[in-house]
Amino acid sequence: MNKSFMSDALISPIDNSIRDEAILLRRVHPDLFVQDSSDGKHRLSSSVFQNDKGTLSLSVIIKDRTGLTIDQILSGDYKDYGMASFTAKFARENNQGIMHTPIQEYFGHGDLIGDKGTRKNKTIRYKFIKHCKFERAPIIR
Amino acid sequence: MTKTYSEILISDQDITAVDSSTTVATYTYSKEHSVEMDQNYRQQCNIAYNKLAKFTSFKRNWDLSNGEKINDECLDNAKRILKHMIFLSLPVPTPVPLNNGMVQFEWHNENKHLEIEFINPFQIDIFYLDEDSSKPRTWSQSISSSFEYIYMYVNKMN
Repeated sequence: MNKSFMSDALISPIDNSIRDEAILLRRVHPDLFVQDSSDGKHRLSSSVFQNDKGTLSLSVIIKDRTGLTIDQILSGDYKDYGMASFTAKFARENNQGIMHTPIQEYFGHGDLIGDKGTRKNKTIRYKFIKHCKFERAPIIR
Repeated sequence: MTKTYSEILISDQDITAVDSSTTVATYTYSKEHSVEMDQNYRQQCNIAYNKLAKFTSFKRNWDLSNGEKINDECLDNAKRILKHMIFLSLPVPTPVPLNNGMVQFEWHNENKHLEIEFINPFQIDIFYLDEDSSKPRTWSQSISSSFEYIYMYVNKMN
């Protein structure tokens, strides 16, 4: 894992027990799907991989630690959301640390920690978009 | 069939109030200028405009990830620039709400990507990425400054 982006003090909680093959899920609000004019298909907005305001962190769900299906994760308030996935290996190759941070809602909750670029350089976000697979398309109303 | 609204300024209502039975509509940008658009283009404009209108109702935590309320001034600026683009018959963007309460416009055409981010009521940041070339192009500009670069890059997305 590339640890160059953080101090040792902050790195300590990063969970090395998460295998490279682990699938990380990212819920996607329906308005963060955008159309590609070349084929009319929907793709992810770069904002899907923008860190939460004022943090270096983005929420993910570690698939093999949830015990829930995609449909169960995307239920209730999330019923219209889409779901994208990528591997832990890809995240690490792009200087992202992964922490398992269970919350009441999901034991499998995690944080993807690291620089996701800036307004003036979103290239890393485009790498994630290109790598991502759609687990479920959103319901666009 | 062309329909002309000679005395109508483009306003929040005008974009959605066009008679859908016409195949071609003419929107009046000012009393002196008007622009024709075909049905497909008009539909894209309506989708973009309706999205911006929807974002006005996005309150805090709209994305269930502590998203900030969408900033009204940024929305107003986005609407104004969208109208300007329609007037110039430029490719229509997809408006996207941001977790930090701002808004951005996105265009994607295979390997070419353009984003205009309304970062505060006075400024926009522009990001252009052509995956076939090495470096992205980025710059900031004031809302009130020249439309020339925006025009040039949005036209690349055709």
